[in-house]
Amino acid sequence: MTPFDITRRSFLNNITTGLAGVGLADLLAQGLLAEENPWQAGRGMTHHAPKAKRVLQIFCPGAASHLDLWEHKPSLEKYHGKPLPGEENFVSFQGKNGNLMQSPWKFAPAGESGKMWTSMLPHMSKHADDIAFIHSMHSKTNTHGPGCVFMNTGHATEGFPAAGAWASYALGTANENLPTYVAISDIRGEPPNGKANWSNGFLPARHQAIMMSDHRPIRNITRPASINSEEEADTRELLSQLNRQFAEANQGESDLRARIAAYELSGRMQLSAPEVSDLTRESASTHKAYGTQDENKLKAAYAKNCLLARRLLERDVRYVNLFCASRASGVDGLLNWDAHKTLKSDYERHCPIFDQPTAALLTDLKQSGLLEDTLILWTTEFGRMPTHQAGTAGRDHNPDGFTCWMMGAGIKGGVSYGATDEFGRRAEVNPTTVWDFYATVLQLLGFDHERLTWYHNGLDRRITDVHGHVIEDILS
Amino acid sequence: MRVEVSLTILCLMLGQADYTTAADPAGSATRISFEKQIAPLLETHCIRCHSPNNRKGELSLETIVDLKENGYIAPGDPAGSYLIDVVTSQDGQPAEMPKEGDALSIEEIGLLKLWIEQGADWPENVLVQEKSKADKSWWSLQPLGEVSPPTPNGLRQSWQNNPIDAFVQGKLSEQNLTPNGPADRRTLIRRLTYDLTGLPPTPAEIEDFQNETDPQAYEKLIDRLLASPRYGERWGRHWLDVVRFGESNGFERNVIINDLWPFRDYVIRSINEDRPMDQFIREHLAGDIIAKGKPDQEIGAAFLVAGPYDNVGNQDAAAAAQIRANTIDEMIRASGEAFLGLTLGCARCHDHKFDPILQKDYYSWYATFAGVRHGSRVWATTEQQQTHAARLAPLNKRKNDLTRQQSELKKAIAQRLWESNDEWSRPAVEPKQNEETFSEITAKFLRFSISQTNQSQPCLDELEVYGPAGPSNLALSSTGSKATASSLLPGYPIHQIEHLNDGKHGNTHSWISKESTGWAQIEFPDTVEVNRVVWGRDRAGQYQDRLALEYQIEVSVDGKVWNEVAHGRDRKPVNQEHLTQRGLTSGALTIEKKWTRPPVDRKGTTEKFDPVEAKFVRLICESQDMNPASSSGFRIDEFEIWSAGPEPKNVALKINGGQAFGKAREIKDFPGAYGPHLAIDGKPGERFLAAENDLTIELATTTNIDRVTFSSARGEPTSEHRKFVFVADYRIEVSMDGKTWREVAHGRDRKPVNDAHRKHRIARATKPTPEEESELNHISQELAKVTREIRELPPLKTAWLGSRQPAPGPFHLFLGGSPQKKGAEVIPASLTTLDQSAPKYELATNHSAADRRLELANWITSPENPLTARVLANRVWQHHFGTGIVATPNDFGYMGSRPTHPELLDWLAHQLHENNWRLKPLHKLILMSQTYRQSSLFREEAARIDGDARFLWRFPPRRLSAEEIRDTMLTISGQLDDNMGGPGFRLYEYQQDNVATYVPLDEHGPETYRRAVYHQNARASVVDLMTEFDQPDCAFSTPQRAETTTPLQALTMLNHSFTVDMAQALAERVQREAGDESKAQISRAFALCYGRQPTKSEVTDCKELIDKHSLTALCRVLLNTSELIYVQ
Repeated sequence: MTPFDITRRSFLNNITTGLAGVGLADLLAQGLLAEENPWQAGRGMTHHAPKAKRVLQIFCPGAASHLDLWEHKPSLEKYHGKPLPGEENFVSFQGKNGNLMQSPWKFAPAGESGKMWTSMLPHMSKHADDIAFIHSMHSKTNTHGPGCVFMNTGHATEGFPAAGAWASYALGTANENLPTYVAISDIRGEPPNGKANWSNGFLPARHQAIMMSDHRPIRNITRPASINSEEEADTRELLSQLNRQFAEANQGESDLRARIAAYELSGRMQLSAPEVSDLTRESASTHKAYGTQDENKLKAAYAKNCLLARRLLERDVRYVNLFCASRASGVDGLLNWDAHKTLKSDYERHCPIFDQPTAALLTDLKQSGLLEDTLILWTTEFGRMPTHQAGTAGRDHNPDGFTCWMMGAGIKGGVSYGATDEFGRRAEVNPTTVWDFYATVLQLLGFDHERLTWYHNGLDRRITDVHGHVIEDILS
Repeated sequence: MRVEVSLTILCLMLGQADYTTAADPAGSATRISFEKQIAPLLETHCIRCHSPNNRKGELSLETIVDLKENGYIAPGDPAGSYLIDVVTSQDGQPAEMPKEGDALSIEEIGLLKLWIEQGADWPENVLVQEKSKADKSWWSLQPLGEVSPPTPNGLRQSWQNNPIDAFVQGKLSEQNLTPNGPADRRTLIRRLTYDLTGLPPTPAEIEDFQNETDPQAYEKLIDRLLASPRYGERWGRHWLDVVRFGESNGFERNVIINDLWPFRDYVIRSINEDRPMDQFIREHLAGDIIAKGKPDQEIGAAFLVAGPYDNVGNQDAAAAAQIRANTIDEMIRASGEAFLGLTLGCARCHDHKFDPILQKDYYSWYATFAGVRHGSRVWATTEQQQTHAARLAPLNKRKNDLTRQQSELKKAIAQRLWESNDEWSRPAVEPKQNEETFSEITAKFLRFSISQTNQSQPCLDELEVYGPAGPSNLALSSTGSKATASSLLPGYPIHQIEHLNDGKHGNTHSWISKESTGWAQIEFPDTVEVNRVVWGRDRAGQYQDRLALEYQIEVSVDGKVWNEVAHGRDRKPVNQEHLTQRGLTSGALTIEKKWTRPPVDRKGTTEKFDPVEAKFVRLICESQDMNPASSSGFRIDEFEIWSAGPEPKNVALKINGGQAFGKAREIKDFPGAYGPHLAIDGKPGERFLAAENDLTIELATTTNIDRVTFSSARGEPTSEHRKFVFVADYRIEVSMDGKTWREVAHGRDRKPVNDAHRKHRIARATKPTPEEESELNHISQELAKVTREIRELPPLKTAWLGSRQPAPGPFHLFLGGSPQKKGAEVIPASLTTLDQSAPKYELATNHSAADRRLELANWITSPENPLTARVLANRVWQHHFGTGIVATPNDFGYMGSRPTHPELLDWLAHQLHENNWRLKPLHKLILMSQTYRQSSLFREEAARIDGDARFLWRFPPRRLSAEEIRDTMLTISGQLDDNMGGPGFRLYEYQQDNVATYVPLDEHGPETYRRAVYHQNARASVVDLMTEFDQPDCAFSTPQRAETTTPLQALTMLNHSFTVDMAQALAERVQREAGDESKAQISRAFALCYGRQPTKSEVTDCKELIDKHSLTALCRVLLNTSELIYVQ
């Protein structure tokens, strides 16, 4: 063992216990960073030139129907009311299925690509030519909680880091005043399995998403009401002084300096977070475009979160999870896209909340040029059945085929990759896994997914587990 | 992957064939060697997924059999071989195979083609197999070494007393390192107190120890701390991390578990009592077997079900089987990691890639745990159970007696009403013969439909039809009439339909339906006039079963339109049971006649009434349609109130000024999700979900109204679904002041919506005599009393121990991990991994589930099992020094890290054995070492060699854990409540609406001021301080806490009201103990927080803050300082 040969693992532990720039600066000063490795986590360095610098992942929990939103199936119209060939009377998550059921809405061509588009998402249709659809996603679970966690972490059980946590670990921060990874949950509540969807898993806690939204600021961000600003300033000053003295007396401990930096960052966050959350700084026309004043309070709340997402991305937050809808409630399909019984009325409730604000956000990102190096992901945990659930006018869970899409940095627009079968029951053309999806995301962020690893309980873990192929066909 | 998968060929040298010299039929290229050129290629790219125990795509490449049988290769014809297609990139698309890992190179594909071209020769004695990276010679799998401490050069005098120091010095010398000198006494007592109790020493304890002259003082300090109950709370927490103890089930529902805390108490108690760890581990795996009826030990087995599991329920059988397999997998992983430091879970789909763990080893444990299910069960001593049963028995008897009396009385009332019922004008049906007469009617068809019998499928031995024309039976087949039926009983010629009208009587000439209901029909050769039917089940009088009780006779001219001419509803019931089945307890038919209007309609029900002035209108639900006994739970998507007059307007609408009230079901994280406002928003999609029985609308102004319309499923094609629960009985009332109400409409004259509703109405109309009523009341009161006594009887405690089921074998391994694909049979057995160092066992399939777990428990804790003691000794070492001798405490395999001090580890494991598996002697041995007692002084030159101090040239300083930080704040502010055990406290608000939600509390009251180990740790819940400071989520075993630094910690420590409260309490305490003088206050505060006196400049700085602001402000600073939460 040479004097400067620190193991890769202890190096990572070291650098990640500190904050960006702090632990690292220490190591640099001590000459401990022998330039033998082209890439090290957390330094903003990448394996190869990145196309995307930041990611916005929109998630519609409850299994948003690919058949009613994104992948038009003429056969459902043609064979409406007929049994699904080969799978008559099959049983899925909630029980028996009935016959094939067409979408309650008409589809018509949109954009130059002529993508068949549902009449329920008129605003989103304007982006038809910028989106790369992946119509052949499939999941390994038919249950919401594990499904959401699988879609966000690459593993169907809890305890694994979310994609945003991996990005935080890989890239480190690009804004010293704001968190690296933010999760914006919906005003209707958290998605199935809640915080496991933006967990740091076994990665250090600094890689977890910070939760914030228009309706709920970062927890503990405001100083106690009983303390005035002068007392706060004097408190912080004395604290900093005592901590500095302690760190100086204990020269070897880099985490003591990291702690000082953490307090400084917390102070800056206390200033920056209200600024970034202050939507009054946006113009009236912007508010109108997003629909933040809409009489539908749920839509207005989501619109504000869309606007907040843009403000975070603008300030170089690396990864933003934006949720549209929440968990399974006592009445399914009420709080999220889980339309088991009443697809039509459920989606007539959810689509208008989603449509205009999301479309406005995408337009805004495009116009401001931010889209050039921002990757947009639209995801959900799985799809829905082409049949109706027995005795209802809704659709049951379908893990075997669903749609996700990407847009923005490095993505070819107006593309439809893969497909489900004639009826939308199973991914058939180019079946695509969650791991393929994230291999592609990491590729765009400048990483080889097989080389972005973290040792945990016996394995060098990756978000792509032992799988994953980059979907080359959708890259520009 | 850091490590390439390594594979090998297993060559069975059975024959002497020489492949390399075989003739080359193609003659154009060198002969391919399967063994040297093809087999390695298959191993690298294919075998992981295509092995006998995985067999993806029904293909194993262990031998050539599957390739040939599935037509993958056509020997001699590479172009016609599918195998080449799947590994070749086509049309710019990546090759289909391999799914994982690198694609085959052009050269490799070339080799494959050549091999096929040359005849695809695959010698029978060559098996292609995957081999793990490490084999059974792996260091951790060897028996414990007989080690004695080394005698290194340069061992200081003070380091010569404890063998540990000799081991450590030995390694230090190898690295050219020297240890630090001893730490000062203040540092030592602080280090030791935190280490053993997780709490700070008091200023007095520090002072005493500093002034102590007794040479045994340090040893006595260790003894005192090991004897403290706080020790179990601290070290119990370490163990709870290892065994992934969590108090909610995780996954989507994540429902809280309120009776797993006894396991936490058991762990703390066992550690405090220094229970031998082999016994402790045996109880974890089999406490319910070895300590049946002894709750204090039995509870150890809650370990098996202390992990997360998916309880969402799944109708898809394959998915449900997968979930169950995942649940058992969780137990296997947790047990393997906690007790053996083996990642068994990696052998679920295929043999372990790194360690010598076979897939069959994994499934042998699967068989062992197959009987364990999650859940609560009674947790009491045998005596407690007997006492409880003895107290319960007479109460239950009384309750049963009363219930019987009540039922008999009700029957008697019903009986009397039945007998007095004049609606049932005709006698009950007879098995032998019955007659139906009716007005003359023209018929081509006559159908006899039976909807209920007294027993089994209906039977008619003869159906005779007569007309006004005379006494001849028009139905007889001999007259050309034809009989048909809804179904026929197969296999019984004596019961076929031709017997219906063959003129022969008795069971042997009868028709029996195949279904439990059915019809039989006569088609006459021409239309005839009919007015009488005679029928029977068995005119021979032998049989009484299969008798039609409820039936209907219809006639038709065209076979399409039918007219009912007779039925059995006006016959008396045949017996009490029949009476009950009819749901008639009073003059039902009289009541039914009053039901004239159509039933309520979920899609829209309208009530018109005379115009009336109203400011308030309300809907009162009297019974709900899915459960008529209840008057809540109904839903309303819209409730319209229409103004009278020429231009009616819906004045209920919110946009017209209406306001809706009514208690709705509530969800805390989304208020108003089911609120009454949804009934007047003009949009039918969302509905009011009533938690009580009313919906009230206040109109903008007093209005003359004459109509209301309400619905729960407007526009829904499947309105019958449960989702649209509606009112069944209701009334509409109006009011001017919201106090006095007048009924303007009701639904009591509507027909019932379903049979339950009909019965409910009839039952409600029952009128007993005053005597009977008083008797019934008396019984009800007595019943209520005895029910209350039963309820008030202290119940037997329950605990989250799970249930145990027999789960008989045989068991199989699951190919590729899929329960749908059963592989070879497996039996519960010891791991083959350790068969060279530990004892072996195998259990035949007839052994019980209990035997299987007990045998495993005994095997794991056998003194000859080298892993158990090594893993345990390593955990103890790790918690004293921050890092284990093996830095990956749950993984002693190839992917884990290697021991820094392998001999020391084995020596410590031996110590554990010699001390009868007790931890306290081991602690003491370690704590008495100079290695432990050295200072944490940082030395640059040593750090350059060993930055993490893995070789222990210094004592590695550490940050306090989340629990220690919270406990410290409570302790120094004098707020800690040190009550032990019992149900935990919560730092979140628990909410449940189908799934559970945990909302962190903004205020923490004194009820939460217990030690953090008593917090009810739900999975996936964020609780500020705890989560921020790396308390694990317990989704799986956490052998080592992270120590991260984040700005969220700063935000929480500065701003959460808990810190502010603690600062306030600390200030009050300091004031109380040090008086009003600020220098004394600072001195006291430093003593409490850091166990030292402030420096002059610290006094100056702190005084300034006190003077300018307050002592509380200073206390808030101190609670945030690094020094408070670092141990040196």
